[in-house]
Amino acid sequence: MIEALPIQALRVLDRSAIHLFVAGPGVGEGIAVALPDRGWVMVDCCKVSGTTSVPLVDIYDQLRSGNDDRVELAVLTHPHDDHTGGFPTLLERTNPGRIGVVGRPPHESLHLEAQARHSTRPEDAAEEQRQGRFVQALNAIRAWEAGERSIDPFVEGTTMSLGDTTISCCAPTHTGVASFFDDIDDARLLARLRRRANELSIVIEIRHGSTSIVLGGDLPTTSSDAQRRSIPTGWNHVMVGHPHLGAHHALKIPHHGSAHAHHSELMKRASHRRRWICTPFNGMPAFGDTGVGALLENEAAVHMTARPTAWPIVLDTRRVASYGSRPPEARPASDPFVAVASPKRPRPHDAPTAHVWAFEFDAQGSPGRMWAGDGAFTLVP
Amino acid sequence: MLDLLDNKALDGPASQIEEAVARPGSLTIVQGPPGAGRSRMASVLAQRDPGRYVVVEAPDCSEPDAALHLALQAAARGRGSASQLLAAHASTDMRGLGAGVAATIDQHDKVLVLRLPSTWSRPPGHDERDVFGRHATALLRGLCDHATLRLVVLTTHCTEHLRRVLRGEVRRVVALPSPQIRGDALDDLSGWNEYQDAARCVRDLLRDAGPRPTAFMLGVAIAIQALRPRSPLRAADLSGDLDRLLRRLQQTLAQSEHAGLRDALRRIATARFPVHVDRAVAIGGLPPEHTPLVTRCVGYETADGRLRMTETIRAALRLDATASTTDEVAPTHHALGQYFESLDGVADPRRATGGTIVPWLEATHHFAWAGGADEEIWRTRVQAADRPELFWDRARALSIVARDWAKAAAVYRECAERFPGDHYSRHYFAWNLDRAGGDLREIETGYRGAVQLDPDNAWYNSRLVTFLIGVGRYDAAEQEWGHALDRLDPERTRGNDESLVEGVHLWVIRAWLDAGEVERARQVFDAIHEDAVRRIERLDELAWRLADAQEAVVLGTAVYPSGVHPSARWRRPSVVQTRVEGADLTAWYPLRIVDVDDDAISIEFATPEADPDAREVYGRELTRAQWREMSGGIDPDPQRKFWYLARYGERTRVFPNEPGPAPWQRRREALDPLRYLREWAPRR
Repeated sequence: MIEALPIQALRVLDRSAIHLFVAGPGVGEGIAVALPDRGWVMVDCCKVSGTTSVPLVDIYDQLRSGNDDRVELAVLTHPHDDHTGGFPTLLERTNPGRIGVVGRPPHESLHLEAQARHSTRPEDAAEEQRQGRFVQALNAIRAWEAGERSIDPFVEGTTMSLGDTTISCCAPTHTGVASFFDDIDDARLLARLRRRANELSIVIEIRHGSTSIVLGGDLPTTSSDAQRRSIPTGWNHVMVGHPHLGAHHALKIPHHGSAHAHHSELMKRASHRRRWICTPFNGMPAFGDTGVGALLENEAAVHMTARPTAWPIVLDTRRVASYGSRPPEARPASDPFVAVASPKRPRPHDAPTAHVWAFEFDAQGSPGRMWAGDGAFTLVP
Repeated sequence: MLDLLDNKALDGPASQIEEAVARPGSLTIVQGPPGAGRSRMASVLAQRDPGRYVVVEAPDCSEPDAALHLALQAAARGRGSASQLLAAHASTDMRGLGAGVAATIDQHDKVLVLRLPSTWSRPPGHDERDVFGRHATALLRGLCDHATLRLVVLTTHCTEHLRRVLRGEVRRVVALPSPQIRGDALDDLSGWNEYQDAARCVRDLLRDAGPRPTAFMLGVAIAIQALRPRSPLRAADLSGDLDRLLRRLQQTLAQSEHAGLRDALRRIATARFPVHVDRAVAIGGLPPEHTPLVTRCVGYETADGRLRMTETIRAALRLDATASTTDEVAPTHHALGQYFESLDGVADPRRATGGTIVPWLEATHHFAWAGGADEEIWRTRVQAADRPELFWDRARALSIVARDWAKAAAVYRECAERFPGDHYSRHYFAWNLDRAGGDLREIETGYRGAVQLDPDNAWYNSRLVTFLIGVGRYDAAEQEWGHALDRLDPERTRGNDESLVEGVHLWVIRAWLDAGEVERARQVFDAIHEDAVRRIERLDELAWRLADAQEAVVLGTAVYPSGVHPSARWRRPSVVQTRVEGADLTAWYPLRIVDVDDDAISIEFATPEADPDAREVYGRELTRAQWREMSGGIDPDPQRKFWYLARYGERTRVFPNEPGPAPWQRRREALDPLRYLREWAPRR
């Protein structure tokens, strides 16, 4: 296994390669892709809890090669607050050339999402903050549009060429979006948006030469009410139309590693070297209860951006943890009710790039060097 | 009501005034409580020396046109004309206007008598209307700039602020005695018509009352008695103060059977200046048998047959403009507009005379507030006057009452274009366009323009910063926050200054909290001096909200609803029993229900250690059956999120944690949080 370098060592990018950065500080995720030669693509965004730090912006500020090395595209895979944290700062500091959002049309979808969020007044500060940050992300998009620009609808078939790199949207389909929004009264639509927006999550493939990077958003395997009403969405649909995605060189594992987002064709074994990256939540359940262990059956390593609070793992000097040899859980809990619960409290503030993985790929898809923040690690079987 | 009073009491003070104004440059303050006879004093002076006294009466200085009103009245009545004044001072500030008025009056060797409502005696506040107060101040200073003007100011109380504003040496202060009713005031009840019985009852109570009440108190008491209050009026009520009686009157009017009368009085009280009694009764829709209610109880009939109310009583009866709708107020304003229009005889204020200037100004004011129907009439009138205050009046009606932000913004825009130095219009153009969810660049330009023209205005600086926060431009907001402090508090020594903290910091902190940017809110809060935090009551709530927000950040969730004050958290609440079914309490945790589905409920709870850093948060799932057992049979409900979980040995119980909303959650949201997204709304 190639050993990860400390992220602090990454001072300059080799722009003959394509670079993937995945940030996941325990709440949410954000992805930056530095394209060969110049140009960046940003997908979603996150903040370091308890600070104003936005990891993607720090990375971009430190590693961009000059004023013409700009963010060409920012994509919001789906408007959930764990993917929109820091989005206002991302837009303000990087002023992307285009913004891609799902929907039919995207403005209306975002407005409906906002309505869905604001249909109830929050009772507590956590919900109030989620509401506030979410609407702020949308307001920031409006401010960006005030420069006489307009967001681009991203649905299956949308492609953009940036130099030699192609950005393709593989999900959701037109039909999937239409099924989600149409033939439903407003009240039920708002309820659906509140609970099931993941099903409209954008899936992106970034292709440079033969290198394929798949960014899976939060798309689940299938629609959650598939039995009651068929909404053609989820990985089951995506992999029918885009079976080649299984031959990727890098995969941002969908939905933070949740077992509900695993798909056997997307995550099948491969003979070539590749990188799988997971952005877990602080509150992920105890070790064996997540889907992450299953991933290791088909891939030699999963690169985790953060350690969920409940995971009793031990890292070696290479910042590698073995899933199979995890230590017995030994939490002091005098109360049996607490002993079977999962700890969830976020860790104290970390450096902006503590929970970031960075990878280098050549045009043939071969992974090169990789860099990890202090809080990131590799999980092996 | 006048017939209840002893008018001879004014003779002495009138002589003192005459003596005082003999000298050029004299400044005479005449003060006395409501009902002391300031209006009658003006009449007495006018009768004693016809033509010498130019008597003008200002509207409340929270009204946009208050200062202009005073200036134009003085000009039109002081043998100059409104025409000359408007022509000479179209582009100058209010102080220039004041100086112009003073010169005109003094040139004709007249005495200017200002009848000022009590609002003119107060320093401008920290709210949006302080600009009108500043205009009033500027006008008075302008008048005083003319060294030889003879000035008499009739007011309830000459405050330090008013003294400072008038600057000149106050040559004499004439105190009007407390208005006494005649001993035989209610002997003859013939004028009370249908209110005779009520007047008789009050007369009987008077025998047992202590100090003799004022005429206004007596009138209000008779009104209360006539309307059959729920609890009977007592002699002691007549010995209290007018405010207490007015509260009784409001309570009595609030009785459902008086809804019609209450509305009629509100309509009548909409008039700022006296209206002929028959017209006032008709506009109010007051049943004729209740005419004594307005002509003898809450108001009085002047010598020329008009209805006058004191500002105190009018304020108590008037509908709060901010809480009413166009449908409620527009017809009354329309009727009043037509009434005053019938008296002014001119469409152009430049041709108004001493007798027609008030009707012209009042007709214009009421047409401004009359909704869309009278827009053209209003427009024709203000074209001729060409003063920003008249635009402000109309725009405020559109904004405050109609809540038609876009139309209000259009009026402010027109005004700002016509008067390039008008920062008020620039600011409120932006403010209304902001509420309308309009063009963000135009909003920003408006806010910045206002700050540029009036950089020391705390309100303008604060709004620019909060706007930038609201549209997610955090770098720009922080930069502008720095600039705002440089402008308002360059030495950073005003962290203890209530006006700065309440006008700027408080709003910026709220905006950051609304945006979910807790750390940034904390930074601004920390810039407030700790003395101010202790002293300023409104900061208590903000400190609560901030602590609540920070706790949620640290824990990664909220296990208490915001309604639980921070001081009541992390200590065993009384609802958690110390002993259940023979078992002692062994542990307790604040808990939230995260999700409920058909099979399970997901909860989060925290350990209540005294040390915040030691608190741990846990999540686990429970079956519905487990929950029902813990709650004594209550089904889990996602709407009832907050509970306390208590352990009694092996037993577990949950108790609801439902304190009700926090103060900020109880308030109606002043702003639509989705306003900037309105353009994205589906059109289906």
